[in-house]
Amino acid sequence: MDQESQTVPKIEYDNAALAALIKKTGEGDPTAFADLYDSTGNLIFGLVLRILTDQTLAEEVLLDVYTHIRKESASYNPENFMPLEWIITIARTRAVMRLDSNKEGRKRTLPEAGETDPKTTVAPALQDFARSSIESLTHSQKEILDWIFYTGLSCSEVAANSGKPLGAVKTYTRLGMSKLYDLFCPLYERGTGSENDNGE
Amino acid sequence: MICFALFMSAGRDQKTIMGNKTLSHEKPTEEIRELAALFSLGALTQHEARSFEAHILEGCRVCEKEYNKFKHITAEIGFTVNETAAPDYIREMILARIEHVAPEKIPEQTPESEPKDEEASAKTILSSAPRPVLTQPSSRRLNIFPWILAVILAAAAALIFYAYYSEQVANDRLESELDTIRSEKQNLELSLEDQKSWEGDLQQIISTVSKPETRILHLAGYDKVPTASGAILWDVQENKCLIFGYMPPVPSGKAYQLWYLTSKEQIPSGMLRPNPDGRIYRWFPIPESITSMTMVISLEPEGGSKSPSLPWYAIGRKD
Repeated sequence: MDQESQTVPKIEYDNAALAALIKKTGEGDPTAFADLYDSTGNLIFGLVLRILTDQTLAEEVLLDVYTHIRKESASYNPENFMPLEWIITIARTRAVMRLDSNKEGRKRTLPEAGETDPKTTVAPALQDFARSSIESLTHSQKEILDWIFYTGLSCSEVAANSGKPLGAVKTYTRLGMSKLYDLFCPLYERGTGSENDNGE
Repeated sequence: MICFALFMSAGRDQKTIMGNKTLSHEKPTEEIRELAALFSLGALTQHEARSFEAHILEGCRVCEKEYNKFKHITAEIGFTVNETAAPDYIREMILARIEHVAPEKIPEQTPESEPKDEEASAKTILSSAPRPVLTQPSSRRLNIFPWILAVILAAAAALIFYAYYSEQVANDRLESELDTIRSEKQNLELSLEDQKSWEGDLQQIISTVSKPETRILHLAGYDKVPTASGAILWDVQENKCLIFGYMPPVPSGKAYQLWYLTSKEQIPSGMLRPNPDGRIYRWFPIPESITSMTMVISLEPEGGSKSPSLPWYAIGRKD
């Protein structure tokens, strides 16, 4: 199994600090919200731009995402999601909702990934680990997960748009997600916060 | 949908949670993992996603655990994108906007309202987490469908009305043609009946003429009605005569009357009423005492007269 040889890196990404910023945002602290945006904005803008492939739309959705984060911050529960997971899930949901409202309907193409840019600000180790984990999937598993994640289509719609059989789409999804879970599992068990990594 | 039905029936037993019997799975299967993975990615249809979510809320710990595994993975995929700096004005706009957006307060939980068991904790986990993207049906399809349905129904109604109207018009035309045919048939039947009657009369005439003792008298139009014509067949053996021929139509309240004129008397014999065509045909008895006579036809009141009125309309003579 790959995860046996996979080294789980020291994660420099500070869960506790981000969780604290969200908590303070929920309490109405505008400075904490600005810090939260400064920490995560580039990653979230990169994500919505990849999904929407349009700069103007991506900017609109970015506004929408952080407005939503501000509203929902009081109900954030760190036991359910790590801070970045929570923000990424919100961002993807809002971007896909914007895709759904487009006139093109459900006919979509897989957006290009572009060249990998090593420049990161929020969680370089975690990002590298995620990228290497994704790259360890088979081409078909990665392709189907990309289709589902970046187009927001259902598996049957992905099958129709990508030309893959529906059964294959479901199987590749299950296998790909299971493999990613196996890779990330040690990370979850150990925790990703700096306080855990550093034993603080 | 078939996949979901299989999932619901696969590897599950009945478990009592909070006194209610709910269906839950005993162990994770490939189907459960598949649904949990697709659910966390938001790749199920809306109906499938809501069913799966309801199933977890009913208390299936196996499915909840699988979902909790995959919900993190979905977000991890988002880490792989390239970070991109948004324009500075976006930061300013966001910070300006949030001045008008207050965080939504969450209701404070009292000890009574806190989750007391595993099922309640599942509800808390699902409700507090960002919802996975639920695949929405195309809004355009949703908007257009009622219009398409309305157009189809309107077209169907128009077709039904047109078919009904055409049927009615065709029925009316057929009814009219049928009435005409019935009327023509009635006329033909009357005509046939008349022809049969005339044929019977002709048979009688031929039979009477062929007898050697029959005398034939020519009945000629007289005075005002020269067009009247006919014949009188006198059966001497049986003392009767047959008068047939054509007479002009009679005025209302009038009728033709036949008279036997001898040198001594004018004997009324009977009334003659021509049919609508003017044809006359009737047998009359002849008194035995008469051996020669003149027969005349006069126009009399409908009940007949005791003596013939002038002018005579037809006359036949037998010496």
